[in-house]
Amino acid sequence: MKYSAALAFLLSISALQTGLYAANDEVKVRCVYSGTDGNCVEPSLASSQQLVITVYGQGVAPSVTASPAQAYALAKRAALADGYRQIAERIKGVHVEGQDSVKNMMLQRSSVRTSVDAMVRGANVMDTTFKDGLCEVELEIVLSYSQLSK
Amino acid sequence: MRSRTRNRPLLLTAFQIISACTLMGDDFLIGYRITTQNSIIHTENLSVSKSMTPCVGAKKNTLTLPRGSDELLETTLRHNEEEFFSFATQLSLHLQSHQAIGGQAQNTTETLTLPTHCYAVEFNDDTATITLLQ
Repeated sequence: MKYSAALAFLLSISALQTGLYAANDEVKVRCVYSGTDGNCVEPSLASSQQLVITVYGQGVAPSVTASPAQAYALAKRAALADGYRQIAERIKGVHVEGQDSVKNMMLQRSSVRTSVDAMVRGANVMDTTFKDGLCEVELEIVLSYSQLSK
Repeated sequence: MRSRTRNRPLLLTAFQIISACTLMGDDFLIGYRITTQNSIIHTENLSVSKSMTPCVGAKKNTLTLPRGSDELLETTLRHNEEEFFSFATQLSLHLQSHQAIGGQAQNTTETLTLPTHCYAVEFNDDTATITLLQ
């Protein structure tokens, strides 16, 4: 009986250690900003480095179009607009305005408004995919001190 | 019969007129705007106008587009929207985005505006060369 209890105790310790190590292995750093060499860099612009921001804009073709080509063109336009918005949100930021209405200690109405207003220059379309009426555009912008000074 | 020396100014003038007609272009003001609502394009507006006064500025980027015979610049741009859009958005693009979330409704409006710039356009037989003046 004593031997079995000691064996169970040892097994539980080893299982616990294995679990802890496994948990450590699963920790992954999600790289939002990636450098030109593909390595993850800090999301701050150093004077000697370039900061590459990649976004994926999505657009949908209207339900009524004259041809598949027109549907593709219109969906791509919408995807570009979405991509540019995401770039502007990351670089310049988003203005967020929230409003809650409370009556007799009860929430009546809640609304959130966000807005972005920016000028974007030098973004490149890297890839475009169109499937089932959804167009996805990969947009990339390279930030550097030399570009900002222009 | 005229001598060769007297014909030379006439030939020079004719050459100047022909070269002016073929090489010199016009200045155009071009603007572009797209509005999307909930990721679907809502309006698209391309504005092309011939400049009433000569534009002042240095020539910058150039784009050459295929052009049909006697085709207007607006038609050429419409036929080659992809190329012109990617060319023009490299220069500058103004973005306005508004999103409203309330209750169960969500509404997103995005407006992309290509600021109106002056472009020097040279019309050839089958191409049009567009150069930004800035």
